[in-house]
Amino acid sequence: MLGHAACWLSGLLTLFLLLFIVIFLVLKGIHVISWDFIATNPKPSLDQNLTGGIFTPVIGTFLLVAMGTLFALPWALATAIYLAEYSEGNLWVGPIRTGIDILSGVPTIVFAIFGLAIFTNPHLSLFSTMVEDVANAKAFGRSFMVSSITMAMMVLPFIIKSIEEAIKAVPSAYREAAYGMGISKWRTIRKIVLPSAIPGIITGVVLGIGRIAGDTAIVWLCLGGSMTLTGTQPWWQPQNWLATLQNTGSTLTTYIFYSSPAGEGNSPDKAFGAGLILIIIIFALNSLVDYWGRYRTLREE
Amino acid sequence: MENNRCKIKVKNLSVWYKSFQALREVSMEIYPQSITGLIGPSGCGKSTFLRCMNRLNDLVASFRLEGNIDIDDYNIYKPETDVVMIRRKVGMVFQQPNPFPMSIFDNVAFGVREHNPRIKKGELEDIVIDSLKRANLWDEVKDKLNVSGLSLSGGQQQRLCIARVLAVSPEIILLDEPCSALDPVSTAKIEELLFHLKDSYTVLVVTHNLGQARRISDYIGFFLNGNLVEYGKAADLVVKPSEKSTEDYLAGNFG
Ligand SMILES: Nc1ncnc2c1ncn2[C@@H]1O[C@H](COP(=O)(O)OP(=O)(O)OP(=O)(O)O)[C@@H](O)[C@H]1O
Ligand SMILES: [Mg+2]
Repeated sequence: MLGHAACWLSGLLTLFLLLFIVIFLVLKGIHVISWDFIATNPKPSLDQNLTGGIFTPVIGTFLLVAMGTLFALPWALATAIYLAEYSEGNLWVGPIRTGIDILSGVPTIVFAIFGLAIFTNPHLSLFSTMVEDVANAKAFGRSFMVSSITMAMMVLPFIIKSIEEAIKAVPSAYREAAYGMGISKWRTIRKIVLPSAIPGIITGVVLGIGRIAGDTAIVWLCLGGSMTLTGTQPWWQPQNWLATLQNTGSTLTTYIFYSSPAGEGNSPDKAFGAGLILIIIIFALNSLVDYWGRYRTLREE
Repeated sequence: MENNRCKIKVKNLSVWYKSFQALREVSMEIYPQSITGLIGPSGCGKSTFLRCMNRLNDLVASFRLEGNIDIDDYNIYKPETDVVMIRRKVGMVFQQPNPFPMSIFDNVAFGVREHNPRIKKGELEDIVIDSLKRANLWDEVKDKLNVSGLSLSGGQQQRLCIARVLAVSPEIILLDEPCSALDPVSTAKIEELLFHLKDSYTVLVVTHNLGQARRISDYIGFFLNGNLVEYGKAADLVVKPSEKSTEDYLAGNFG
């Protein structure tokens, strides 16, 4: 009886925890949120009222989420297909699985220094920019491209796992039916198994989105500390897109860090406002992807 | 047994799952344009036997086979055999109806498109319609071809699965207890359609239902503990089985 009550209370407490965080953010941050806040660039200033808005960090968050997912998804999908469908009896399964498990436990700051170390190699300057005026040739190693590739590595194990689960959950009766009609294994996977696994694939993507949007360490090290987009301006013109991706910027997480007194900034209210927006964006992206998945499966049934 | 040339010739077929022997030296000749019923108590190896015909057992890692299965005088267990080609020739219908999670039309069209990606739209539609008709399902679904196959009743789903197999024009059709998940009315419909199918195909049906075996089969094989105990014309085998165990089984003494 007592145990039951304790468990129930813990559950309730969890809900309150969430509500508490959200309410706290709303109370602290809602008054800075306006269209201007979202649509103007951050500006450096000691006066909180003059520090502008969060436009470029929002863009940065969307950029990293989109590109990180784009890099991670095909890679994860192929790996998951291998593990679920082709790995039986293969010598490499054990090491690959262990590798994925370890990878999923690596702190993101470790991915971050790894990404930075790799991409400062001057031969990989394509992914960022060259540092000028130093004795040894060196790439800057910080850019949207570098951070999204690093993000992709970071979310890879989680996406692989959820896609593999999804593939394995597809009823074997579908496979047997297809094989029994003389459909090859690959075509069966392509046309029958993967479409049935879409909800699980979506879950994986949503998981990845949340992790990318919420990560700070990788952004901090691999995207650098400038609040605005540092590529050729205006960044929204197509001929400047590549430069934008090769250069740096910020996301909502680093914006929060640099704005809060805990970081280097002195705009705590704006940090809370940005936190609120970040949570809303993550929630909206999740719902959107989820809804899209449901819609697809509904239409097919 | 009959002067008819045989379609499938099984010779000394033994099958193991790991060390467990599921079939013991089974030899059997299966005739075209006929229905061959396979009966026997649970676990005697009927499904195993059936799944050897289209090499679906290859999917089981512990599966091992000795002996020959010749289809049209070609040993399908030859190492260089293209398994996918064999399965096109030998269609299969399962115990649980398992339509794909797609529309009724796509369920039937899927295999055709896979085998012939450049098929013309009209030609494909003709095949789908013809297959649904032959599976006695057309009248019930002609107004809702775009509805999911999963929305049909169990019996309709099973006929959809039959249509799907017919669409890829196999020569042999294997059915593993196709009616055991269905009600009597649906069962009757499937029995009737099987009866028509035998004009064009070689049909092998596993069934637990002795009445069904009697009604639809031209030949019956009785399996027990992995042995083919008795095999012959349905009429003969049912009326005067030559083996004591067949007689016991037919009398309902075990099963
Ligand atoms: N994949 C498998 N791995 C191991 N043993 C198997 C496998 N499939 C079947 N068997 C065994 O082989 C024997 C024959 O099985 P099979 O499924 O062919 O019987 P059946 O006659 O179809 O039975 P039922 O009427 O219950 O369907 C059984 O003892 C079963 O346990
Ligand atoms: Mg069986």
